Amino acid sequence: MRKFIKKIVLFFAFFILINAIIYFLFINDTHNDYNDFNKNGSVYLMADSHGEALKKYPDDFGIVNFSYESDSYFDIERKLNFLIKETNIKKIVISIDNHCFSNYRENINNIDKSIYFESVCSDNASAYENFKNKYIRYYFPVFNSNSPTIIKIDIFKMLSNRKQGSANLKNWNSLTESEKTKQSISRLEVQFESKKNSQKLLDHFAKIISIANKNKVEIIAIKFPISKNYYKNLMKFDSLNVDHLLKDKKIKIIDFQKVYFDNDTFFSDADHLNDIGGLEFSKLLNDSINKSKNSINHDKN
Amino acid sequence: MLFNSIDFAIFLPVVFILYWFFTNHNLKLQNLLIVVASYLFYGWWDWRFLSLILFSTLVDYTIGVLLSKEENVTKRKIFLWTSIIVNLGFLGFFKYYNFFLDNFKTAFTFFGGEISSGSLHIILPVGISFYTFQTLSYTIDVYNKKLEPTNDFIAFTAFVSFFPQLVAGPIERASNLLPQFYIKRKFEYSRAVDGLRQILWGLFKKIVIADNCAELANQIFNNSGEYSGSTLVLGALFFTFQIYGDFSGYSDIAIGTSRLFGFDLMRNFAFPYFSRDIAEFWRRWHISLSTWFRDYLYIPLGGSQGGMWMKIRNTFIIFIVSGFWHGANWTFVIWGLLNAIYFLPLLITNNNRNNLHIVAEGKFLPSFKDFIKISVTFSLTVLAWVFFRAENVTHAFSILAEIFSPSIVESPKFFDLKIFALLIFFLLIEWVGKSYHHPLHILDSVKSRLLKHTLYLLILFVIYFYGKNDVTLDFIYFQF
Repeated sequence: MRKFIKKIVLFFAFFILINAIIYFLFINDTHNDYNDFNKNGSVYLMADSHGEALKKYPDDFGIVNFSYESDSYFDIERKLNFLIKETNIKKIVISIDNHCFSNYRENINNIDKSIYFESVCSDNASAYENFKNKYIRYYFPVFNSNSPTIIKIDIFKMLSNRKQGSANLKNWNSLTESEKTKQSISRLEVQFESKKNSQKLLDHFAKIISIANKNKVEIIAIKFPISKNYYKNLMKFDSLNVDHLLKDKKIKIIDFQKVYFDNDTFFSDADHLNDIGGLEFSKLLNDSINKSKNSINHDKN
Repeated sequence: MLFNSIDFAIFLPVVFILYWFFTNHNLKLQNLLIVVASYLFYGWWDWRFLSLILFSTLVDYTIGVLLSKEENVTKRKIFLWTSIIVNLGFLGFFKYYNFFLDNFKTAFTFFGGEISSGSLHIILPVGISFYTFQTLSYTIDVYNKKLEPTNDFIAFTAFVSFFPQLVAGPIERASNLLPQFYIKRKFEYSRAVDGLRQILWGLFKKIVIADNCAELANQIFNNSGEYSGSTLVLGALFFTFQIYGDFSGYSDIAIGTSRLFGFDLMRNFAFPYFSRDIAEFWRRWHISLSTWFRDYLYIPLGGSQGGMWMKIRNTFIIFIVSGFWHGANWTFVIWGLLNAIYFLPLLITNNNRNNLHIVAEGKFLPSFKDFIKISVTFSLTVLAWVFFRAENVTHAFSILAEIFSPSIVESPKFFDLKIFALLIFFLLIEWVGKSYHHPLHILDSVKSRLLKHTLYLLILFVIYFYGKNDVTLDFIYFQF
């Protein structure tokens, strides 16, 4: 038995070491990004990767950018609960692009990271479940199903030694129309692989509305600017009428989809702004929120 | 509780420590710990169904005690049939009630009648088919006086609910497992180490092989109408490896876990896809169920004693019942029937016991003849799995029609190189270790620690990077 225990202890030491290496080399960075936000604001922007290009520019206008890569409505719900408890939040600006309701967002999300904002004693899950997610999956990345993907991406980035954003900034604007179409379609195929909308995400979105209403937090829904090419192709894929969904709930919608149709230099790819676009859009977003009425359309035409 | 979950990763060491360090001095206490741990393990899914296991345990324990005191043949038969009716009654209600009702309604409508009774929304308790057969083996063995009935209720409860094999087998015989609860278990280093190796291999089979194949098999079978014959063949192939990896992976983890606690469970799989004929396949696939049917159904029916027709009849009964055991769907019945048809030529020509030993024993490569035999047997098995996986009989026939159409020569979709590389790695390890209880057992004879640890690390690496760490993918056999 002693020999067995000795070997098991050695294995656990090795296991902890491997976890520590993975955590500090790959995972910790993503967690730090996720926690880096201003807790003193009253207006919070919550989106997925579309909000990332805005960086901290909206801070100058009193809007805290609380977006993160692949945040789903499940993650946003957790973050909203956290903000209600920890800040003086009065208003949330939330992204409602159609792909946010697509089934693929059920799998591609940040539930392993947004657990940071969940209390162990939250009402959403049992204390044991939350403990497991908040501490074991969080600090032992071997148990976190997203960690191999994070490692692969990081290693790929290290090897290719270039930032995706800057590479695409140069690329999107200089692409030919057919190359743009190819990229748009390939992205849309991922986003709308399944024609069905996720009931789970629709439910979480409904919960966000109900939590906000209960806590007197105003919701403003926005559609992020997208490139003209992507928009044209989106029409072939899109199925869900999110506007209808929101109008029923009497939520303000600001549609920015078409605002930069003639300015592809503002995009890093088909549907993401780059740094310049992010700065421009931050100003526009601030103006629009200040002037927002029941429904505003920023259509070019 | 799933074996491939964080819950089990916490549960197992805690029970292990309590078992060997806190209760080892007292056998009764140690058995009681197994009962509590097993009930916790099962209750993790749905604690309400614990009452079923407890009731089944009480009934069979009581009947065992009554049988020990009764010599009157009629009364003994009544006791036996009480146990059979109670156990199969539960199984029949939870598993087959809606199936029989729906088929009865269909038949009634076919003959012009009308019936308005609706189906019930019945949840199938996990593992009911497994523990029902396990407890039945006890009563039947006691009735046949092959086994002394137990007076130790705790040991009997532990035997019925023993957590490693409670929900998906191996279906243990009382004569093998129950006596192990009567004696003080001794910790053996080599047994525990080998148990851990078997757990590692089981996890690899489940997380890497079964779950990766499941993703593609589900995609292809769920949208079968959209794909060519060649893609459907690929789908059937993925399912073939999914079901093997899933079920034998579970058995490996169950057997390995039991060994950590000083128990030896029966072998459930013995490299079935290396079989040279279908009879050998069935001696190597789900051994605990096949031998259960052999001992408690085939032999009582007369086995092979009553001439050729009797043998054929009994063989068909066994295969069809075995198919039906898997689920309340005609697809399983046809799957069983198809296997019986495959078996028939071997039975008639008395060739069903030709290949009793593993292929190419002591050699690295099989002979050309054996290779052809393995390929034919494997192909027949793949074809039969189509019925097993299909939603219904029409679905299965539509898939087969497409497979045997000109679209078989089209280039298949889902030709994923990563999966094929993983399958080759998997088959290679299984082939090299085919003469052993489980493939990694071969490492016992390897002296180089470096080689051993490199292989362990490689398997762990593949599990981490290529495994599907998705606990929503249950073990297939939980539904049976």
